[in-house]
Amino acid sequence: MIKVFTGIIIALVLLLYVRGWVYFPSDILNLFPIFNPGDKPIPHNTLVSDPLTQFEPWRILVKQQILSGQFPLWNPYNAGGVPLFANAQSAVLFPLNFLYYVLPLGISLNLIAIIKTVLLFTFTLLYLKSLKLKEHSVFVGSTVITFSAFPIVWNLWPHSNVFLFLPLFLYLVEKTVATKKSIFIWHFLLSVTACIAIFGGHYETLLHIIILVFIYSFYRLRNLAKFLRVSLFLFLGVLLASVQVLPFLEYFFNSLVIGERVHSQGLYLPIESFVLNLIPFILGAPHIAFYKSISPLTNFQESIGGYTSVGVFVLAIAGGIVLFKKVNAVAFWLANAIFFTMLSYKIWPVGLLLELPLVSQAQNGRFSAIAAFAIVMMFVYLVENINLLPKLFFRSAYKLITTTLLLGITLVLLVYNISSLIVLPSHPFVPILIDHLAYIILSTSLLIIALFLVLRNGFNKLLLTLLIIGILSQSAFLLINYIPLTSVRVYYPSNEITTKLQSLSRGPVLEIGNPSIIPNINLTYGIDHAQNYDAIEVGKYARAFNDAFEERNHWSKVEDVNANSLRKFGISYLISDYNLNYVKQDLQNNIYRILPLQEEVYEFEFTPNHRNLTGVRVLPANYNRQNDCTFKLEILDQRKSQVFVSQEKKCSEFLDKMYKTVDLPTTILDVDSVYLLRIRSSNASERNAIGLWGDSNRPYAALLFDEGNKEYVELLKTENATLLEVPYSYLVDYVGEYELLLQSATKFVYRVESQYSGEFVLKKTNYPGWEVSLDSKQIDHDDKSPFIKFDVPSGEHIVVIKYVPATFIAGAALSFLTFLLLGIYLVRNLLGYEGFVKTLLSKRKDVTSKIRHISSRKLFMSILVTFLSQATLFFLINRSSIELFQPEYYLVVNWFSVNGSSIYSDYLKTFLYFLSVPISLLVGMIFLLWKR
Amino acid sequence: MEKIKYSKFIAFFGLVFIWLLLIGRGGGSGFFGQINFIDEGQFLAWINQMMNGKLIYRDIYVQYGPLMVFPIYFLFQIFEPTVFILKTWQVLDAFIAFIVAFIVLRRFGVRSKLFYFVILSLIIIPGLSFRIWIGVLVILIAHFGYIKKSNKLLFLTGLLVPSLLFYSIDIGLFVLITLIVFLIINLITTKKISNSLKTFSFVLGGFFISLSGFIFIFQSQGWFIHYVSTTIAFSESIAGNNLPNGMGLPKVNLPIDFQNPLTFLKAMLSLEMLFYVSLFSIIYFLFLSIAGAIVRKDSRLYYLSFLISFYALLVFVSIVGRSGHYFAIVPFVIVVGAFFVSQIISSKEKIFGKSIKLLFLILFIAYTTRHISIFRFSIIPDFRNISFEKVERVYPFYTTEEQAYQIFTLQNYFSEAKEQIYILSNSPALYFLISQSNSTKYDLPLLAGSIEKRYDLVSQLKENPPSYIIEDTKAWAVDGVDDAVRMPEVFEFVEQNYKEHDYVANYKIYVLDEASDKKGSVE
Repeated sequence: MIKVFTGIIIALVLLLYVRGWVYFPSDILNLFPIFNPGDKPIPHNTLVSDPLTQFEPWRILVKQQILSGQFPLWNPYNAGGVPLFANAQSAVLFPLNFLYYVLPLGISLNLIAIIKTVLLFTFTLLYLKSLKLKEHSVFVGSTVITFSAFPIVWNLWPHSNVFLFLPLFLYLVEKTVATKKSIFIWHFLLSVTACIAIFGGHYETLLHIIILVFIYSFYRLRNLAKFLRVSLFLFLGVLLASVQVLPFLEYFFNSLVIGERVHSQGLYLPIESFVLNLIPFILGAPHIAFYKSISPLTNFQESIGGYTSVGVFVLAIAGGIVLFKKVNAVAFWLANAIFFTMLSYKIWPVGLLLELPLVSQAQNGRFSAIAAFAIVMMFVYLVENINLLPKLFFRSAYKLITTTLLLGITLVLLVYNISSLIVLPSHPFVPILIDHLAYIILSTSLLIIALFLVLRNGFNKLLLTLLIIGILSQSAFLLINYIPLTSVRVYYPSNEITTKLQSLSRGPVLEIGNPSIIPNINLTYGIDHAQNYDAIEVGKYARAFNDAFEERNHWSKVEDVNANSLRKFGISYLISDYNLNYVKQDLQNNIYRILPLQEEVYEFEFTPNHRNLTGVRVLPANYNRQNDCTFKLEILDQRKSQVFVSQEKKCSEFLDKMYKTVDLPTTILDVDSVYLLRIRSSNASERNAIGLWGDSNRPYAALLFDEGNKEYVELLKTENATLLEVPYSYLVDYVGEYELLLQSATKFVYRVESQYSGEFVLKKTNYPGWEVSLDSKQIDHDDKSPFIKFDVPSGEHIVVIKYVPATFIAGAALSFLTFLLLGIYLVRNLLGYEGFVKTLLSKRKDVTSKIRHISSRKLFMSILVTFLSQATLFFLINRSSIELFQPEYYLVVNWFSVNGSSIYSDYLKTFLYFLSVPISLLVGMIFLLWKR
Repeated sequence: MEKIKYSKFIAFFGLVFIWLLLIGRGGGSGFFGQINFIDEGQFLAWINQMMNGKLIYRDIYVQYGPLMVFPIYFLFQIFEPTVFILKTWQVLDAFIAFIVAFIVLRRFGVRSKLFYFVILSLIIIPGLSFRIWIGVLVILIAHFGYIKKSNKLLFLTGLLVPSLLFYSIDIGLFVLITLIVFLIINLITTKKISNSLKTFSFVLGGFFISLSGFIFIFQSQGWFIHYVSTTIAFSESIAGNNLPNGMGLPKVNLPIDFQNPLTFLKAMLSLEMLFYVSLFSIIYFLFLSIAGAIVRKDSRLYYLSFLISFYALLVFVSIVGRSGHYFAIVPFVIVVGAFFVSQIISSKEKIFGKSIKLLFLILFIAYTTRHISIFRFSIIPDFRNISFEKVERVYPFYTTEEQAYQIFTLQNYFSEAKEQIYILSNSPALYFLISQSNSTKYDLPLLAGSIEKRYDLVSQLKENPPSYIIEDTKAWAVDGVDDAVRMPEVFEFVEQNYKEHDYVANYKIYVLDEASDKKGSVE
């Protein structure tokens, strides 16, 4: 069975690889005008953008740095540089990500997603088996948890890296309860699991699951000493992961998030979103044709996290009510389901816990995933203890089946004929919602019937399959394409702007107006960006940046800039939806409503502030579809008798919520006259029209005038964006001459020379760990500045600025010590005095007498076999050209730099040589002990 | 192994010492041979700078530990500063290393004929160095301390480890790691953990007392902080791609020529192959030691062989990237190999038949004799090339005629003024031999290999322009990289600010160009 399953996975991964498909939302880039001039399809699901903008770019950078022989400590490309390893979500040490570092992209992306799912299934299977449940309950439970909403919708996030360890933790606790003799193994595994879960990279999810683990441990162990021991080993797991934890804590306490995040958004689910547990697509879903968030405080991704399936939810609650007095475990899981649900929706009094420090800053809405786990456990116990249901259920099974069917069919008919009872809006979503309701009702009815049949006849393969299909139809089938398969061809494609930037000298880019090369996708192109996108940001830099660029638009993008602020941050390039040298005159700048552009005509009277009109900027809405209507813009005189200029555009060029600058042939206007701007669409229809964002009756519009300003240098103009250079903007401010001798992710070497002493400002993020040395002597730098700033005396000097994170070094040392401690604990118990060695020593005579019976000739032959095996492995390694590590830079000119080689590849080869010895010895040993 | 009388011991070691002093290994002895202008030269240069009042580590770039430099410095202070003192000190170094290897062989109980063969090999094959074998001595003391339950010896081990760290940081760390592994093995296998911890607390006690003592003394001299920063930076660079000198792992070319099987044999006995044979031997010894410690009754010897093999493996890892240094490993292979061969030969178990015994004996002898054959031409110095003239600062050591001529010529050239000079090539010995002072802190230019150090060197040359710059036209391009390629900024500086003034022996002499002949104004 396992072989078949593994075979299917490998075949699937290879098939996807050959076909060039990856489980990754690359198509989200089509949202951005520089990637989509209007000919690309609408993205499948816009809510799954974080993997595209955060996790994948980080992984790419991590892979690059590892393969160049550097430990990925620092991201030098965003916001003047930000921690990379300390940013836990980059999950550098998460074991599954190692596959990413060594395998081709087309394989690793799919394989990691599949392995995560398989691991969650396996761990749940192990846990449920350890509870000594019946096989069918175990299988049903594992399936429901694996295909519930949370692991599916968060699959590409580090959240699922951590969540998959929840059943494993419970399994290990269960083993410590059940085992008496070899308990040390389970203790050891608890620590290792905690460590790997930390490496998974999502501490909020870890906090959520660990609360359940502690509750569960206390409930199951019922012994303070044992509970404390389990807690101790969990803590040792944290110590084992110190290499990751300490740098993260440093980042956290130096971040913008402290004290600010809690005010920015609701960190729990609004109660109205609970309805998604019963009707998941009540307002559509982001991966189907229609979607609206149930509340401005949340979105589908967050609020669906507690969803298992409607049938499981209803049956688990019903079963919980019936069984909680009879089965202790049901009572336990019912209590947990209630507790975690109250936490996720912040329901009083449990919700008060969310006011606690740290907890208050976590995304507590995701406690719903823990509540969902508890609900599934109730369902599992219902399936397991189906025979304990009241006799009433047995006697009247057929009646209940008939009633359920009838009720279901009636409800479906009612739903389909609801328009005859109430007046429904004529929105195209309504028929979809009706279909969805009917589907939910029918599948729930069938699920209940399947369970009743099980109740009557007991489990058999057919009923089990029916039950599983019934459950999956409400979970996996609804969400199976939540994250799309996209072609590797559209995986971070190049465009004119990215290509141009790559050809220019390095310097930070700032997006103005529309999102374009949004952080952190800039990493995939090797382009520096003035901003970063992370859950936490380096406080000093981010605050200074926010102060310097206060004016933001609906995308939180900088809307207006001045050259001084740009130079202060050393920003070299700007990508804007219009040429920033133009003067902008807003006609109306409120954007809280979509104004349709079907038959409507919008007209503005205006008196121009400047003469040379060169364009008009609007903010369209495309209703999440591609439209092929025509957008028309005209400038007329006040009496509408003369059209000065007119421009038509295809509606497909207008992307949702993206500013569109309609270029006009330069038109000379009279600053004392009144003109009319008219916007309309000539051939729009109900399903083929765009809208314009604006106030209650006028769309947003701004006039652009070319008054001959040349503050910024235009480098490239495309249909949707302009690339500009900021003149006299430098990475360094210094009174004298300076020369950059070397730049790497964690090191800058400058030669500086001046007749005067003065400040040297490197406009890179000032973060703990950055050290400055002047002529090989370490000097202090300004601790308060957002940049690396220090005094340089007159004369010529060599300045070395490098990143040496003390927390990483201390963390690595602590991790190593804990590893030693746990290793000694395990090996001592497993092999040491108490274990294998003692047994072996006591049987030494037997062993030696057995060896004595082996002939010298056989030993000679086995030595030859060992030698042959060794020679083969040696030549394979020696002749192979393992140049896994390609150094990014060399500080010295030596044999390695001259030959473009890396000593790390030699270390790797030496390690392989080392491994070849036990392998050859094993081969020889097998030959020696082989009786034939 | 039979017991040897005390007087025989004295006579034996006396003979070895006299051999090393007069004949030496690899062509060099206490009295005759060549001066290594790089490796020996850097010590001479440092001491020259120290004698000129400069502070070690602060004013002089030294990549080795202070305990490696100060003994020679003190000897130079006590006696006359001459190459002979350094050479004699090296003979003493080799002699002590030899004694350590001797003790290990005795401890291993290597059979007598094999024992003498090994001893002879160790005298001939250069590689047995004090710097590495002092580590074995500490491991040996720890081993004796543990098996004899001697707290004094364990305390002594602790006292010695910081000395090693200050002697050679890598060797100190390797010994420390080996002792930690020793502790871990004990913690795993001991009946009572507390006993093991108690035993090792003596090591720890000695370690901290010795460490704090050294730090106190060094800091009182004002250079300890500089030592720490230099050592950390140097350790970082030699562990990564930015090591000053070195080259990648050798590639073995295996010619498949069935008509001439000798080519195959030649490839198998090539230096490149011997490099890997040595590596694999050490790894095999490691695994065989583990097996022996578990299966054999007298597991203590296998413990020792495990620790020494483990230590040797660490030494080997440190020479990855500097494969030319692999001879340092050869004595380990010979000594530990002798132990295993001896165990097999003396085994009366049926499994170790004659064929097995013969196989291992042949392999061992082949490995050792091949290394002896590599040095067959340099076992005895070539006295025909030795100049028996007294060379100042060298006598009573007699160097080759070529070197003597070079030294004489330069000494005469710089006989009058005490000048600030800079030697552009990797020949730091010249500073000492011609009694001139280095205007920078870098005596061995290749050590200023990193970009910041290269500019630092240029900056020092600008700040304190030397009157003369000397370039050895026959200088060895270390590891195939020419100095001009290695340090382009320095050569560019010389080209722009200095002009060729003279050519003596094989040395080009540059002087400051008149156009910029003003201190501090060079560009």
